[in-house]
Amino acid sequence: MKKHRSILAFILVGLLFVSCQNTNNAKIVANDKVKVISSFSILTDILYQIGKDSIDVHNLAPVGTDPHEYQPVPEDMKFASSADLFVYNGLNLEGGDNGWFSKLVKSVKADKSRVIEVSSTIQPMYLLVDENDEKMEVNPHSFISPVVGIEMAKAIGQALISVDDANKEFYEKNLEEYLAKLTAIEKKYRESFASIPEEDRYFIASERAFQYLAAEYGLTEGFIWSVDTEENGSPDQIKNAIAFVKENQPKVLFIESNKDSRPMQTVSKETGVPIYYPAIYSDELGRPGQEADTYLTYLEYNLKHIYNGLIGNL
Amino acid sequence: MLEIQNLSVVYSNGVEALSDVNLQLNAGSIYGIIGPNGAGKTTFVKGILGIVPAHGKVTYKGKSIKSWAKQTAYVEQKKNLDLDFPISVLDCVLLGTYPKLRFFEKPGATEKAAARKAIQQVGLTDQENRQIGELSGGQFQRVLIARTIVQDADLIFLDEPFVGVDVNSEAIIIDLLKQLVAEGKTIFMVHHDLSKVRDYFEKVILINKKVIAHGPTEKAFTKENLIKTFDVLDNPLFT
Amino acid sequence: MGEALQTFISDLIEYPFLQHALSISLILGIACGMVGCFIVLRGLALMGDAISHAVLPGVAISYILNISYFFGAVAFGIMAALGISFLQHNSKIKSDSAIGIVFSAFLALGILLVTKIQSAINLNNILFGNVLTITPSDRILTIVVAGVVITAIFLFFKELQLSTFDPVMAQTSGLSVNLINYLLMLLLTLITVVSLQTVGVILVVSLLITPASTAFLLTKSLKSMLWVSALIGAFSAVIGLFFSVTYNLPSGVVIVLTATIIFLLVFFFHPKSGLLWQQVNKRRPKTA
Repeated sequence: MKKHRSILAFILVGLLFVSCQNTNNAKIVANDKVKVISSFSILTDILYQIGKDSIDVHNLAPVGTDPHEYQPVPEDMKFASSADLFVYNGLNLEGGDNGWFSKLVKSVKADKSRVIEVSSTIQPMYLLVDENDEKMEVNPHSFISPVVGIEMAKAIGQALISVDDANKEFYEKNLEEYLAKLTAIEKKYRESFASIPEEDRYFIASERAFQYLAAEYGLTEGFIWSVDTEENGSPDQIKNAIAFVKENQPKVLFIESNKDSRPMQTVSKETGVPIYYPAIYSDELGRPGQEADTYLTYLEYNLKHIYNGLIGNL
Repeated sequence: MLEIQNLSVVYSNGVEALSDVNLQLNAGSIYGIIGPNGAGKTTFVKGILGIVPAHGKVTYKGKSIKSWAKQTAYVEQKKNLDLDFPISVLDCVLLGTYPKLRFFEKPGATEKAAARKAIQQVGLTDQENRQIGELSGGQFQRVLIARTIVQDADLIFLDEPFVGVDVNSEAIIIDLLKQLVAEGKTIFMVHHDLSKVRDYFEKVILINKKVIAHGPTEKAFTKENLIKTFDVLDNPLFT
Repeated sequence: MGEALQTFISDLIEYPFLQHALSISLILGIACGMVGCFIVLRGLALMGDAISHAVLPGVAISYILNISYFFGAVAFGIMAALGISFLQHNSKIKSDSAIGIVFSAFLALGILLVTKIQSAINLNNILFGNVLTITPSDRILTIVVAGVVITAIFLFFKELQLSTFDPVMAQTSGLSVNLINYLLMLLLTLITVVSLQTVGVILVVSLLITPASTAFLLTKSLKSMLWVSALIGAFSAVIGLFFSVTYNLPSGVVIVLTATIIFLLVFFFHPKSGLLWQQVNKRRPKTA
């Protein structure tokens, strides 16, 4: 018994001592790559397009997991302990101030100047407006719209320059090339959607992730559930979706790559409107090697299929 | 003197388990509490001690019985205790010293010595370090008696201590109880075996939802009273 | 294995996040291991789980009132514990049913409140943490609360022991069994809430029950049960973290599996009481 006591006491004291140690922030050594930690796949892709070989990006929420609810593992934390830059979406995608990304940043005591919210310049859209006209519950899915993508790319370029001034010209050149491609895609989005007749501009998918896209390009958005963190496919939600479809007569119903499609199948049966295949992408890229595995191809993929669906070209 | 006034116990479902008991009981005796199963013997004891909600007033030496908590010991039916609990014979008997210890005080050498003396009195010295789960029914009951001895209480209540107990243990226990009474303590024992009543108890209290009779054994423990208490006719035990 | 151990130790030296994870899970392993002994002996093993979920309305209300989640969570945790005790002691409802009734009611209330608030923040994130990403303020809170809980158990050992083993004797000898029960529920709520925020719900329930149950199989006195349970909790934390870092797995679940494996090893292989030995002893004739 005495032996147990002294072992425990020793452990306790030792670790109390250790837990009070502080950490220094990582310093950039000139010839090393910039170490960036990114919250999910879309940001990781954009980072590599602009930073290319000068950066080393560690992606946190892998393709196939929900960036709202990711739990960091030891490798993530090891990388974070010496990361030069912390990049995340914001707009509550990673859980907001009390979310997992915020906790990760706080627990490695990262310098605030190195933590970049890429959506900081984006005007938020809200999932709910209550009786007092109070806006509540931000919609995190801004990146589905290429207009937002352009802002995000600029923010990422800016961030890389701010921590690695030596390679400023390199980043600026890559950013310019990337923005040119993004702008071209954005132009296609604008022209394509403008060409769709008014009566066909009704778009419905399972989650209300396409709010920014719809607002930007003049679509009216229907949905079953407004955000993944609430119930997915309750009777009321399905009823409302059916009402939307019956009233507005879209030619197709859309489903997403990583959401349960059964509620939409119910809506399809009740309304007789077919589901469009293949599924479109919302809050993740395609797997590496598949189509839509980069942000640019993701945008192009979505445009092609949403456009086809809306004009009834199955 | 233990004075019980208008003691009654009503269960939450409205059933009256014990009605209107009025008794004046002298200290320094050993009382047998006799009656059929489920007719209120244990309820009587728990009602006196305030362990179940009860109406009425109970005083000892003029003061409310609750104020005598440190001088009161209650050994409930041993089947209600968890024999898998990690506790040795010695540790269990030591529990009897707790009521008299102050808040942060741990049992020390004095307490251990008192516990060992009591363990010796019940004849379990060589079992001192055994787990209670390894004991026989009789041995465990002796442990509980040893614990009671250590408590050194004036009022001792025992609930069916001889159920599942071997003859040897029973003999040891009853001897010790008589010793305690000789020292001036008062003992109340709920007891089920009618054959030993005259040997064990100076006084009896016959209970069947109320007190049917009470008093010195020769006077109260009669065939007539037993028939009333147990509601049976012609039981050969009574002839 | 030797190399992995070396890597682990050098990782420990290099990474503050790992040092913090280790010290916090050690402290919680010890505190939960100790509280868990009383919970296990009283047959209240699922209280830990119940309280973990019952705190949800408290968190929602804290959010509305804009105060720290700790206070709301603790307040509702205690109310749930009291509610469960109340049901048990004032009716013939047994403890497992009482737990189920109260916990599902509180959880439902919590979900209702969360829906009404339409919180932009996913309350799951607040409630259920990850040992690798503990914030400095949570760390301090955990150390303080765990310290209070461990100290209380030392101070009130006699009372806790007596009221757990023989509540009737405790009551008649003047100890207020109700007060001690409330104290235990308070300690349980405190350690549960702080563990939730730092290591998540899976880990809390396991750390409360598994090391204590393992100790129950091994020990002969409540005192040594407390020590052994604390040690096993601490040990599970260290070994669990070691494996989680070596194989890059989520830390909380690996700690739980470690504690479980230790339990199974004792259950099967402990001389005299282990299952395998019991079978062996049955076949071997005993010498007189």
